[in-house]
Amino acid sequence: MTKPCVTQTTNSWPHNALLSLVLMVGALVPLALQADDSVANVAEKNARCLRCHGMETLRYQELATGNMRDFHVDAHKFSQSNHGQQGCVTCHKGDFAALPHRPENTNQYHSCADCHTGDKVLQRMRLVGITAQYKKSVHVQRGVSGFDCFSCHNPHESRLEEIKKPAGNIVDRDNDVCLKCHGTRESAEEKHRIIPKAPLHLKEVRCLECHTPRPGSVIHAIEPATRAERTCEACHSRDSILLTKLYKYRLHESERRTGFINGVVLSDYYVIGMTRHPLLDALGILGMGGAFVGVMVHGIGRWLAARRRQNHET
Amino acid sequence: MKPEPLTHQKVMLYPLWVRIWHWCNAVIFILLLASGISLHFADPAAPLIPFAVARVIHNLSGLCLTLGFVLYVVNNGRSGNFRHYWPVFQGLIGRIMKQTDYYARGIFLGLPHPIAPTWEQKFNPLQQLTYLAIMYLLVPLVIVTGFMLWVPEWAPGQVLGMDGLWPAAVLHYLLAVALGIFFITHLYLITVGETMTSQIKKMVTGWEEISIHKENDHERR
Ligand code: HEC
Ligand code: HEC
Ligand code: HEC
Ligand code: HEC
Ligand code: HEC
Ligand code: HEC
Ligand code: HEC
Repeated sequence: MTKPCVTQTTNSWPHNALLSLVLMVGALVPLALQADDSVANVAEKNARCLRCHGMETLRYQELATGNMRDFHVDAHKFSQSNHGQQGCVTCHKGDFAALPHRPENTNQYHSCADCHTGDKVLQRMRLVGITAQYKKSVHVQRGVSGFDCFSCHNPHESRLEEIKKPAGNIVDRDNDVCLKCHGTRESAEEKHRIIPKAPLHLKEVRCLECHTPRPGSVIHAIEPATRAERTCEACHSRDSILLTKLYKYRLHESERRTGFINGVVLSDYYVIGMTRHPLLDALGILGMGGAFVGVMVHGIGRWLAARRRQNHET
Repeated sequence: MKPEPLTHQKVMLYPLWVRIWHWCNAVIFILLLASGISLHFADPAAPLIPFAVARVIHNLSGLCLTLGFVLYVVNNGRSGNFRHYWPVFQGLIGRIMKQTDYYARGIFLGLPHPIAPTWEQKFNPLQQLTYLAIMYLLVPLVIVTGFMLWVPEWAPGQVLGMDGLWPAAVLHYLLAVALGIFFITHLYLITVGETMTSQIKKMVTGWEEISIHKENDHERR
């Protein structure tokens, strides 16, 4: 795969406060941006957009709501994403040549399924199933306003392969998604007083582990808090749900078959009740059981010997 | 053959603090074993003790074990009780053989105990070495690894490229198995006294009948 060369042209824009958004919007300089489809190089086209949108400072606070609106698109992450080779205008239909952009264009986004209908990508992503799960989630059921796939997935950065990264990164990445709206880590710990060692748990497992139905792979069907997992043994046991959820990608079939289920997990995590080695388990049971049988046999032997001695005496 | 003792004498070999500590430890051991087994072999279908409850029991009794252990070590040193734990190396092998032979054969023939408790050494050599290993090696190790599991930040970050908690957990588990084996045999050995209950009585009242030989006769009581 050839990575499109997205040249970040922010250096042509003095990177200072003078050119902060307020000024730009205030100046209302119409920019002649040609949405010229004949230009073959997508990257070059995108560079035009990224001239402004590649700036980290491209954000402002909405007066009405006080919310921060961020218009920055990380050029590097975009080029690395699944859509890195797509033109900005593939998804952003409309005329973005003028500034401010025309209001009728600004909120015109496509959903993932608008473009990915019946294609290979669709199948690989199991979009139909995911969308069905998503519709059952507490967010949709309760009609959280403005909530869609992009509340959690940054369309400019998402990458399918990222899921296969080590669990530690996955936990942070996935939890940051939720914490964007559900407060800080501290406030999350506050909400989870019911779980002992909440800071540790929130660091080592994903919100999804507890807030989606068992068994795994249904991470989009987020349930109300009343149904959240509160049984410790769900994770702290040999049939831990973590093996079908968080650690799913790290387990190799062969290791599962030999009983060394935690082979991969083992080296990174110790989860009480889950990370068990069959040999050590057998050793423990044999040791204790052997001691018990041993003393029983010794005791019975003593009893029989004593009885025989008594019989001899009488 | 056992040398003829000059006199028999009842002495206080198990002072009150030892007995209190001992019986507390007995309860703590049972709690730790039961809750520990529940935590390790956790299974939602067949919980011995539910995980959440077992965790609390295990942590609290672990704390008690630690407290008891510290008091024990300090008192053992200060009161001189430690002398019973330190083997007299001269002829040790012979005495170990004698005691082993007793458990393997003599006890079935109804022979008397080969090594009688004395003021200096109240334990037989097998007991002595076991207790020394248990109290001065296994228990401290189980305490240290236990605290690592309780507060994972205290465990080494990485050991041989593995999460540092892992070796701590395996060691903790193996130590627990060893201590469990000790516990079972210890319970059984209660019954090998002069009579079935004499061992228990001794650990309740603290008095033990010892034989006073010429060489270790003394006024020190
Ligand atoms: C001269 C700088 C500049 C250039 C070049 C530029 N934009 Fe923008 N863009 C802005 C600013 C400033 C805003 C925020 C204010 C607004 O909404 O107009 C914005 C907002 C947007 C928004 C969000 C609108 C909303 O409110 O939801 C989109 C989408 C967008 N631009 C796409 C593009 C695309 C695609 C291109 C390239 C074809 C492009 N922009 C080129 C400055 C620029
Ligand atoms: C795969 C489709 C896709 C591509 C390609 C794409 N975008 Fe977007 N973009 C979206 C979607 C969907 C949203 C709405 C996100 C949301 O609701 O949070 C969006 C939102 C935006 C916004 C507004 C962010 C906000 O907070 O309102 C800007 C600005 C933007 N895109 C710029 C760009 C630029 C510049 C490019 C090219 C480098 C680009 N986009 C390429 C799908 C795309
Ligand atoms: C405007 C249309 C459009 C939208 C909206 C869109 N995509 Fe895409 N997407 C594409 C195109 C075009 C490709 C490139 C297809 C190819 O390479 O065969 C692509 C590629 C991908 C790929 C990479 C497939 C591969 O085989 O490497 C993934 C994954 C993907 N999209 C996921 C999404 C997700 C998730 C969303 C919603 C957040 C989304 N897309 C929204 C047009 C879109
Ligand atoms: C509440 C947040 C949230 C929403 C809303 C959401 N997702 Fe996801 N999605 C996630 C998280 C977190 C992951 C990462 C899962 C992982 O790491 O295994 C993910 C993973 C994915 C994946 C790849 C993982 C897989 O199972 O193959 C796809 C495709 C996807 N989402 C599509 C969508 C679509 C389409 C929508 C809208 C219908 C959507 N998501 C809405 C949080 C969300
Ligand atoms: C875009 C913001 C946003 C994101 C991202 C988000 N949520 Fe939410 N979530 C909400 C809002 C708002 C509510 C409140 C819905 C209500 O009660 O009306 C909610 C409700 C919930 C509830 C139900 C709480 C209850 O009282 O029953 C759970 C559980 C939940 N979210 C989990 C998650 C998880 C897990 C993620 C990450 C995968 C996530 N959310 C991502 C906004 C968000
Ligand atoms: C170990 C399981 C577990 C994990 C991990 C977990 N939760 Fe929860 N969560 C629960 C349980 C159980 C409750 C119900 C708490 C109660 O009833 O007091 C809950 C409650 C909630 C609530 C509603 C509580 C309220 O006061 O509004 C939200 C929102 C929530 N969790 C979000 C999250 C987010 C975000 C994360 C990740 C940072 C997360 N949870 C991780 C188990 C978990
Ligand atoms: C979603 C899965 C999950 C659930 C549910 C869960 N835990 Fe955990 N727990 C973990 C993981 C993973 C770790 C390992 C963290 C680490 O790497 O040290 C852990 C660690 C712990 C630890 C720290 C032990 C250590 O290794 O130091 C304790 C104590 C604990 N859990 C108790 C509980 C209790 C009690 C409950 C039930 C109220 C519970 N957990 C529910 C996943 C879970």
